[in-house]
Amino acid sequence: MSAISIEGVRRTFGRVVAVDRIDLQIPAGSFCGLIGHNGAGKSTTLRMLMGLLHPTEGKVRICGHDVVAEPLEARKKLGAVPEEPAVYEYLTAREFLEFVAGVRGGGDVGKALEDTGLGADADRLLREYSQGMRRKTALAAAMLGRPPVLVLDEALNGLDPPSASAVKRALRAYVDEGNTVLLSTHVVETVAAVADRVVMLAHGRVVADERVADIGKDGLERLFLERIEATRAR
Amino acid sequence: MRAHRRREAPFAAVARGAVFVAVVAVLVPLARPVFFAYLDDPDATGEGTEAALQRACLLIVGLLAIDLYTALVRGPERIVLETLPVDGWRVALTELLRVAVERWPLIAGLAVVFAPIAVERSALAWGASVLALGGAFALAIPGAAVVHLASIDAATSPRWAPLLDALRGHNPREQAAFIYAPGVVLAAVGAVVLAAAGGVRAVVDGDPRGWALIAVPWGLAPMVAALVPGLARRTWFAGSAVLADIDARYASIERPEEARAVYLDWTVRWLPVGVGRYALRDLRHAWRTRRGFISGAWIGGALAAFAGWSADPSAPARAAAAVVIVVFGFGAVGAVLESDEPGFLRAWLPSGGREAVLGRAWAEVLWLQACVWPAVAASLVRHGLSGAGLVLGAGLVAVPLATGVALLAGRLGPRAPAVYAPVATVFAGVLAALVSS
Repeated sequence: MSAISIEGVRRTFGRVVAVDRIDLQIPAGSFCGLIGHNGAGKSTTLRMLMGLLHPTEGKVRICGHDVVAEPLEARKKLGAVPEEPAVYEYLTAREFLEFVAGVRGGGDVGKALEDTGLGADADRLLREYSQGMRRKTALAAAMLGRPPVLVLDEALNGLDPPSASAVKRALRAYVDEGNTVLLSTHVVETVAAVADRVVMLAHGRVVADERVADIGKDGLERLFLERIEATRAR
Repeated sequence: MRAHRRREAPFAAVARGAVFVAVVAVLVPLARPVFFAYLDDPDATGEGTEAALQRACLLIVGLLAIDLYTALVRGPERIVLETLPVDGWRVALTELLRVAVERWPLIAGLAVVFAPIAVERSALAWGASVLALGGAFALAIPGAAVVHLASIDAATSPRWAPLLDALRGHNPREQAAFIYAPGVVLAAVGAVVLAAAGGVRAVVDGDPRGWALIAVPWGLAPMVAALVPGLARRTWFAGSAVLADIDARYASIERPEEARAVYLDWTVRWLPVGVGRYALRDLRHAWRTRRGFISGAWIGGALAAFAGWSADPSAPARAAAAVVIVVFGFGAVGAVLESDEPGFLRAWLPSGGREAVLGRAWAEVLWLQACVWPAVAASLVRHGLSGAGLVLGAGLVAVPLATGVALLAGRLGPRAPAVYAPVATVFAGVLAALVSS
């Protein structure tokens, strides 16, 4: 059973086709990068995985649970950071993570704060946080309770280099425990640095699905540009 | 709940409620000639109390219907919780309790408003009235919750599609389910609480069977509440997807100018460019984030019209007083908009001075027309030009006055609503007393 299963998923908004019959199986224990140009359908795909949008056609499953039909079961297996994560402004980061740990039925708040480098600011109100710190809080919340699947939409955006590096290490360790991470980003280097596999989207379709080790960082960038150009030409 | 508690100083909600009740208590002598003039006639106690209760109960139901929509469908909790494995029922329960705690002053305030009945007639009549008001509150909360949660289901159900398509106008089909939900609450819960008001009349007139009618909302409330857990668990998560769909459909409307259009924005074409810029900002801001005030003004207007829809010669005066009250109530939007202004913008950008004030005044005066014209029309039909003239005159005084108070309170920034509320209550009370006498 795949950790993430996307079968024949199509999503339209009126006449606009945002995602056009995507099939994707991501096994447990893998780190998959999802890259694509602006408007390629990355966020729509991830929002469907998070249950925030329902597919027009097809099925989305997290650890075998249909996100639409079994929303609670799917969310129990899923940690998610949306593109614009929301937090309770009037809680401190520690309190917010304690709340999330309560919802998830447990989780090591101290470790989550440490992994994301928030320890020193853990007792400040979230309304005082910068965008990057909020993103790190959302990331820490997503990893709490170690759900087997993490879906992260541009989760490393806005992080300073030391934080980004620490978060990448934490995500790598997370995958090494047997969990699965799907990370969408515009930044090819990020995918090359952490992912085992890369899926490229263009105009709502999968245009490449490769092992990062097979193509290398330079190859990844070249492939990305080639496929985008090829799709545009069509 | 901790996040909510910290957003305000400790006990702020309780203190605010207590201040509200105290202000209402001070205004009771002013409310007496508006709502309880019938007490002058000993034979009219039952009928008059029933009429006053009908209006008060519908006000409770209408307000709670809007509150519960915000709490359960498009509230700030959703975007934090929607990706977490939360129990939809527990989320709904927390929200219902929060609304109940935040709105308790409504019942306490109305109990005080109805005090002349106890003082001048009988404590029994007053007690029965308070029981009926409490019943409206107790039933409206679960009733509104059930309707709003069910509307999430209805929004995507093929069974409801033909009806929603017939009603939706230019809105996405799913949105039609939410637009009409408060009306459904008002009709369904309203019918029960109106019957309870009839029960109070029966009790006052000496028929003990009236107690059974008063008890109906109390009896129905737990039965309706029993439907909430299952509905909440089934629909709460789906609500996020439905809302995302609605927002996306609005965004993908074929004509971009239509997608950007907001209520009354076409009126700015008659304004000077500088004033028009600020008026458009306020029209857009309020329509997108404070729509409860804008839609609520129409509900308030409908209630005022209902207050005047009677052959009773005092009906126009009652409608005029109701217009004054709803104008000052929904006029708070001007003060709320000021408190919405982000701190950084306030600090770094000039306020816009005279043009900003005129722009907001334009927007507010236009929004408040919804509070006035339904009652004017109702009075015109039932009492001719003289009745309509009285209601229109009340509106012509109340609208600029409420706007002025909101704009002056707005100069205090984030504290504007806290200042507007007591000042507007006093103005509304005095003006309502004047127009009804």
